[in-house]
Amino acid sequence: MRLYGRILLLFCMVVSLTGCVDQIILEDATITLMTGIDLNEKNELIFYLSSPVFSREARLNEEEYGVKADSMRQARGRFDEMATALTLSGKIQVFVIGKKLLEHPHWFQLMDVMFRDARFSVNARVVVFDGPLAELFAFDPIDKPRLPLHLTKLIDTANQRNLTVKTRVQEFHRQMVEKGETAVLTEIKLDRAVKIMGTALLRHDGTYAGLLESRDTMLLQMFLHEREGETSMTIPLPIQDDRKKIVKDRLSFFLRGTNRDVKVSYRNNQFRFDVKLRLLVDIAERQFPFDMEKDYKKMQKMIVEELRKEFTRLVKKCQENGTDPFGFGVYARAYEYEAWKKVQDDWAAAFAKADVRFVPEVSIKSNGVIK
Amino acid sequence: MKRYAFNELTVFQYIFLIHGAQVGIGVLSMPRELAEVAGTDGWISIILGWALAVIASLLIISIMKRYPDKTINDLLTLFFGKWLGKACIVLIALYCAVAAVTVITHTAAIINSWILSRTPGYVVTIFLAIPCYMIIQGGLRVLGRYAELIFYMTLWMPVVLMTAMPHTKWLYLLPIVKEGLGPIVTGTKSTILSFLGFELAFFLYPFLQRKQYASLGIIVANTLSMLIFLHITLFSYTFFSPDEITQYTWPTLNLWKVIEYRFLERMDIIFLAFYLFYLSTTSFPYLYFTVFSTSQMMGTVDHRKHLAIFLLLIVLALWLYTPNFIDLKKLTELWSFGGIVFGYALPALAVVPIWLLRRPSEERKA
Repeated sequence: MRLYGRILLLFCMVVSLTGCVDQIILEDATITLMTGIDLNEKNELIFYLSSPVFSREARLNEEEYGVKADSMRQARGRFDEMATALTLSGKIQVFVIGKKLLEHPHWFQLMDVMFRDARFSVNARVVVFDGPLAELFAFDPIDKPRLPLHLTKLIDTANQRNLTVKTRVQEFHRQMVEKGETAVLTEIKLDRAVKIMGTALLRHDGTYAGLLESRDTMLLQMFLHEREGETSMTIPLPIQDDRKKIVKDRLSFFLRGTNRDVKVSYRNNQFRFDVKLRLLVDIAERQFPFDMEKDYKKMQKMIVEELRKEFTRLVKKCQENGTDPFGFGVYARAYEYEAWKKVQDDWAAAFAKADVRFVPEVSIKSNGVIK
Repeated sequence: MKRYAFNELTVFQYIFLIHGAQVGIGVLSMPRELAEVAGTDGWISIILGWALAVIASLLIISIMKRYPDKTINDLLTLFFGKWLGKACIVLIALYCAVAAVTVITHTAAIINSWILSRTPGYVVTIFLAIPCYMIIQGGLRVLGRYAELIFYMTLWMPVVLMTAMPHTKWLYLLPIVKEGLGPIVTGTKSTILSFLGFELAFFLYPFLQRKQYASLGIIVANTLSMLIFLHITLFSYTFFSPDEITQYTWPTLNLWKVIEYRFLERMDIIFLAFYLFYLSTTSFPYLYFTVFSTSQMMGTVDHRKHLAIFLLLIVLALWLYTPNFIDLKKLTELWSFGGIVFGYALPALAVVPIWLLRRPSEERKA
């Protein structure tokens, strides 16, 4: 009998748990899937929200709002005044930042609530939007699913092919706080359809520094993640005299494997990074005649030369605009701690002076199924 | 002669009781606390803390070995006489009570800030108190079984955590010993609280069935806890950047937030729900030994009445006053201090006179 009594007690407890004050009925919830911050012409903060509507009577399946507020929590109150039900922040998939906001340093403080409130989802993808956010949130194409879902898919798949980075809120926090690297975000633009522009580079204070196109993003990803997703590069090769041809001398290859090795040294107040990148590639496309069997070493050398040029250009670009998306600072801390300690508070300046040398090593593993 | 034969523990129950008492609230904040002092070298402090805990544990066992049928309470009465002994027992009961209250209030606070932010703390505590009573009233053997069961039930946790592995960056750990040994030694201090729990051997020893495994068992328990601490800490250090980790109150929970499946988001909530079991294995033994001591002191055999009163008092206290995060920190410090005295200083001080008393006998009252 006592056993039954205990089971009954336990049962009562479990049942009464659902009576906690915090319960929220799905009908009473406006599930935010996408949210954004932007500045208007008068430099006032505008917060946006997009949420799906589950109602047969509603003709559109989504509601969007934009409100003026000073902080995200304040904006939530404003949203609640307009949205059908209580706005929830636990399911945010995409977090959009207007490019105009990125002109101002230290805007990152606005995101504080996302980390302080444990119920915020930290897995939202952070995106920079080139243009007024109002346009993006009002965008409702007939051939696409709900905008937040469409964007999520777009970013995820583009990231799979390494055309852009996928920075989630949690990772973004790390990139912003970590002294030895700067943040990179996906950049999109509205041009009849939402288009991925590439990767936005941010300085340490959060200001916009420049855009990496998809080609550069691939190089960056190659360095950061070695081999993740699918990387397919097309590069020009100087085989013959470059005449005005329609069919240009292009070579495309798949990355089968990457291995990176960074050596750090510090001399005369200058960091030096020797980056050795070992790439295993599969030739996917070759638009010119070439005797691979005889000259494959020559081909490897040409790819190496081309990649080295590209990488050097990319690093130079980052050094010039005061960013370090590669996280060379992390290497500096790991291997030259004493020197790093002196420059850690202004790593971008130290990195701008650094000497970065790329030494790619390419080994062609496959030539495709034709000669 | 054998007063505690009725509630005998197997070696496994003994190991998991101690291990369960060790792994509790400490794990949630440990990576941050260590990083604040020792940076990314904090994980070395854990190993040092473990060594200290093992030494203290072995001292405790070596003391208890001399009086295999006595708990620390019986010993204190034996050595200090009836009244002074009772005063000591009160102190020990107080220590256990502080530990239990600390864990319970922390549990309520974590639930409050992570899951149920608008449910008042005392309501959460009522819900915690009911299963508490149900299990602890069964006595020590039930507690032992419970601790063992919970250990097996939570084995999946480190495995699931491993799925966040691709997000980690081991480069953050370098250089090892970056600021010299000083911070690492200082960091050991904050691991002391996390390893507390081994001092329960003072109580558990007479209950243990096969006493020849007492030393081995306590080493296994300490090592098991050390491995869990090390796993979590190393994982947090490689997941969060060293500049970032000090910002999170409970980095371990933030770690779980990024794990997400197609069918399941917010793993941290599920983890936390399961972690409540783990927290309970910390608070239950302390609760039990609080009421065990008080009822023994009052000369009653039944500890259940005391248990009910004690739980009611906790709920009542939390109903009257909800502790803020500063209070929580002070409680933790109080427990830490008590633990240093009871877990480390007492065995270190007591071992010499007890070794000097060559033959343990009932007549010789020091």
